[in-house]
Amino acid sequence: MATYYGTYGQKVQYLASDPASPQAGQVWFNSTSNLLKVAVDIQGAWASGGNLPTSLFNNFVAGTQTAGLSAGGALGGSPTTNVTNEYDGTSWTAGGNLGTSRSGGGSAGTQTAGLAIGGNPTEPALGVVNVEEYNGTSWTAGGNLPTATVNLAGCGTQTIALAIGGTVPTAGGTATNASREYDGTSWTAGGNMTNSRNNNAGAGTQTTALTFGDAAAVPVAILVEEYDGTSWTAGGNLPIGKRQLGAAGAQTAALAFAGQPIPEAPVVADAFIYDGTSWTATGSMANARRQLQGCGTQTSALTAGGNPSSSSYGSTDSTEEFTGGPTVVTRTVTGT
Amino acid sequence: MAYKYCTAENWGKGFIEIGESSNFDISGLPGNVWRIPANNKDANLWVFKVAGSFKTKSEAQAIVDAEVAKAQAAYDALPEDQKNNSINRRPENIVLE
Repeated sequence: MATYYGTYGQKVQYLASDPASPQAGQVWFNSTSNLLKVAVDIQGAWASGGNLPTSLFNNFVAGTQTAGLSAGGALGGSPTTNVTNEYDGTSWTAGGNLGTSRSGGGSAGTQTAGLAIGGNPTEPALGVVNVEEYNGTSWTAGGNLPTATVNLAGCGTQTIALAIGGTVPTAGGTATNASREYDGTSWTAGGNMTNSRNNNAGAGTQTTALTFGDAAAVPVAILVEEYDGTSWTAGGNLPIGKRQLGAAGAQTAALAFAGQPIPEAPVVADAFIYDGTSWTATGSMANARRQLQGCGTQTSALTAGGNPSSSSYGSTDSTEEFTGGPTVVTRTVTGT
Repeated sequence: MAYKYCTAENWGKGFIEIGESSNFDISGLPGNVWRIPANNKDANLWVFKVAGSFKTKSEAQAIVDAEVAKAQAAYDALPEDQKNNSINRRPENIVLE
């Protein structure tokens, strides 16, 4: 009879407990649980994180998977909140409140240097020009947007940020193709996108940004645009045209997840990774939702809140954490 | 693929772990209903871990229907000018597979 040693030239390790950092392909026998185990590589999957204290959607989300920030958002229906919560990788604790309650703005920065850009104090959308900066304790006013904008995307840092697209209520609620650059004090016009879009997502930095998704039309919703600090050029198309989706990562290593395929399809939980050229499907979230934001990197992302419904009255307290790339998890080997 | 259903309250961190979601699909539905693959030992172990309660498909469908009906009633009670716009549609019925 063939043996493991004979086939692989190694003996199966006999261990009292699972190794702390197993390598992909490593096999061992856990003598405490009497189970044969193997470590395998996964390419991306979602786990549940600590629930938000309150169900929300369209909240600002920034930071990293283990140092996240959630601020504002809609409570389901018209009311918006100014509540801020900070995530430590396990649970959320209260931070300082936003000066202006709102939802549907753009986000940038980190848990201790966050940026909330524009947004919407009520439904239907009226929009605000307010920008606020968070220092880990409290929010203070930053430089106002030139125009009240809602349902836009944000990326970058607190002092080098980019606001991308969005809806301009004073222009009849139409989408804009404008991008705006923030230097920590004021906003200046960036390059115009090829396409006007709102309810889009953004990732990257002010000079290496990425945006995708749109509320209005399938032709735009699948189109991806990349920014070099001056002008926008076409990236690889999303596999599915969506709006109100989440994003994390960088221009050449992005993650897009959940949202609402258009026109008017039920919300989804799927996720895709971008390599700067094309998108590949990765593990789906447990809970489908739209009107959500993400933060972190392509291989370590975070999202919290969102709307699981096609109506404005859905919201969730669910947090999900994405781990991508080669990640070793342990499987128990059982007989048939 | 054949599915099984259970109800379980998502307590947050640790409810679904990477080793579980990378091993089998877990889909959340309204009413704390969760869909997992049938005849999957790891999925069954997950239901045990989260103290889930297995439901037949018809039982799960009834729970989901009740939650969707609540959302539809909330939508129906909205003023007409807030309905059927680009971000606010009547919640769809969900038919379990």
